[in-house]
Amino acid sequence: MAGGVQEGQEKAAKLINDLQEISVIEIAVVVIATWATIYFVRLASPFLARRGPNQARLYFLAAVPIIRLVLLIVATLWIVPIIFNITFQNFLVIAGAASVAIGFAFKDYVTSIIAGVVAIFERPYRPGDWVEIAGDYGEVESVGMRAIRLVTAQDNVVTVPHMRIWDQNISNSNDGSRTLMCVAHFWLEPGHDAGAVQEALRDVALTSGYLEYDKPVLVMLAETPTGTHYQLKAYPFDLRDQFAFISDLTVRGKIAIARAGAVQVRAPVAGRAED
Amino acid sequence: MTDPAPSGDPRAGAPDDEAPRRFQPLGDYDWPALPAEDTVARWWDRVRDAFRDEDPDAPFVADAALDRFAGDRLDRIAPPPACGPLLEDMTATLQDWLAQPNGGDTVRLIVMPPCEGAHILALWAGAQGLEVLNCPERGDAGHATLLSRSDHGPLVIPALETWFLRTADGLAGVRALLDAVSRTDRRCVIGCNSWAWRYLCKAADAQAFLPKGLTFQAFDGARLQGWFRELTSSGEAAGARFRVSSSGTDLFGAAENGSADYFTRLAALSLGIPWVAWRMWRNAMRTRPDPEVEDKAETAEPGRRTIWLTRPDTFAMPPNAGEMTLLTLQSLLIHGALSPEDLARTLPGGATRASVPALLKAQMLVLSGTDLRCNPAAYPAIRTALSDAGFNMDEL
Repeated sequence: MAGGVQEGQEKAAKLINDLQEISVIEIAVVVIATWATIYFVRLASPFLARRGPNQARLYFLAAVPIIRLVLLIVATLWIVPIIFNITFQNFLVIAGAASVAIGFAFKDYVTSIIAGVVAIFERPYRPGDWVEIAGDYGEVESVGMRAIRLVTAQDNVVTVPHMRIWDQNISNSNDGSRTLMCVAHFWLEPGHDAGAVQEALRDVALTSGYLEYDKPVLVMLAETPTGTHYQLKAYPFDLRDQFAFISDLTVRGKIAIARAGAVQVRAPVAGRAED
Repeated sequence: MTDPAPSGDPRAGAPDDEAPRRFQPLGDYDWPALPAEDTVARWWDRVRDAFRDEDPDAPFVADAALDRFAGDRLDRIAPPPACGPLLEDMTATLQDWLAQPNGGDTVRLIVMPPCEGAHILALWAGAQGLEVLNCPERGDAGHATLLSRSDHGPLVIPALETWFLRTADGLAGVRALLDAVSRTDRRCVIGCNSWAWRYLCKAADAQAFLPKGLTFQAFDGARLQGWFRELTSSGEAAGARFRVSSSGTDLFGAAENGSADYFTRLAALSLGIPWVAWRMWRNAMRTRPDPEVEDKAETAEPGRRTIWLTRPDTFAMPPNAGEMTLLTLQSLLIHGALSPEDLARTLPGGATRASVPALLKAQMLVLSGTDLRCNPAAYPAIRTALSDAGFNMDEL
């Protein structure tokens, strides 16, 4: 029995370096420098995104999670050999212990972290993107280690763990680009000149100050039980203008529709939710 | 429509900086740049100044010791029009086409940067004795009669940007005009500012009706120097010396003393646009309150007056300028000039109440009669602000 205990202690001694050999100061310097650099990048990136050219805004924002991942990998590879005596046997011991801890206590947390790493490469969302996850639509304000923070149009902050990417659909409206499609909806009484209304609505989009010239303007229409449904689709030059753009299209679209001799229907709104 | 580009080298027939230069196809504009060493020097000066208490480069003459000229005196020193040699360039570009009989290419499109105000094409048409078709009122379509007179010689439509208003019902006039131009046998020269042209290509498919545009070659430092020397060689400025207040450099002196750098810098700051450079140059002119003191102190030739040139004015967006301010500037660039009422009609929500007074105070806008327009000297700053904010830009 005493021999077995002694053997275990020797294994432990081989697993972790002698305390005299572990440079606590070096570890502290690496940890603090990594933390400080990540903190600086998290501050500087939004600042540069706000002050810099609009064309570079999303690149500045998207750099944060990538830089953080690289820094954490470097710091880990730096610190681990200082503490542990890395051999194949010791790796198996550490991995086994870590598996038990993760399996029982931190499963969801580690799943989210791994999903966060996957998200950096698959890029279902990046800072600055407008995404919808489980009914919440908003701008990705930050991509953290475990979760992202969305800011909705109502200025609510929604925290969504990365692990949602395993089992939820992520709807990304701009996917890294500077613009996204905006849609203004109109329902009209069927008895009208559809061609005239279509032209009028197209001109509404073409004369908006928010319009992105390099993207198309489309007017789609379909007959529905509640009237003729028009969708005016266009892109603003800056995705942050999407709500102002839709409002502008809607306000001027109503005037254009009236000028074209058409009438908007007054059916219950609930009946159109499925359109 | 066939290829409207003039044949051969655009610099053909231009052996020196005084000779006319033919216009070049749209897209070939060579934006003048600051000299690299100038950019590095400016950064170095900033770093050095941060660590020094005293002013290391005391100006030759302090700006505070100089007075601005009144507007009418500036007109006598550097008289308008601000387009300078462009009229000759335009003649050199179009004379072969004008001499052709009817039946060839019917349309020439001239696209130039905004803020020129004087409608250079109308001035040129007047000098050539050509008939001009101006838009009587924005959105009006009263042009069919003139366009149908194919036996009357070329017709000049100097400013396409005045033919529309960016509202849902404001494009009909320009669309009808483009359609009529595409069907007429009468030869036409059409002018349009670069912001309006970019917009009309989107909103009215203008590129489908008109040929590829032509634009002037950017004015470099040597050309600006030659033009300004000629401009000031007569009239009230004749015999005066033009000196840079910071260094004392005589801009038109015989010796090579840095004057070329001054004009290279001015060409870069003005984006190579002559009327912007002309405005910047005029705005920088100063005089001593007491010319006698100046004669004794700074010139070896008593009686010869000196006109000092300070750094070009810098323009900054108004404090707390939001997107509505930028949308206001964009709309004015597209339309050239607008009344406050028409400007409000082109903006989301019609809101101009706060932005226009702030822009007037910042001198980014000027009043032209009752109309608002962008200040030509502020155009480079406006263009940079709109580009940084991601707006659709013009193309030259």
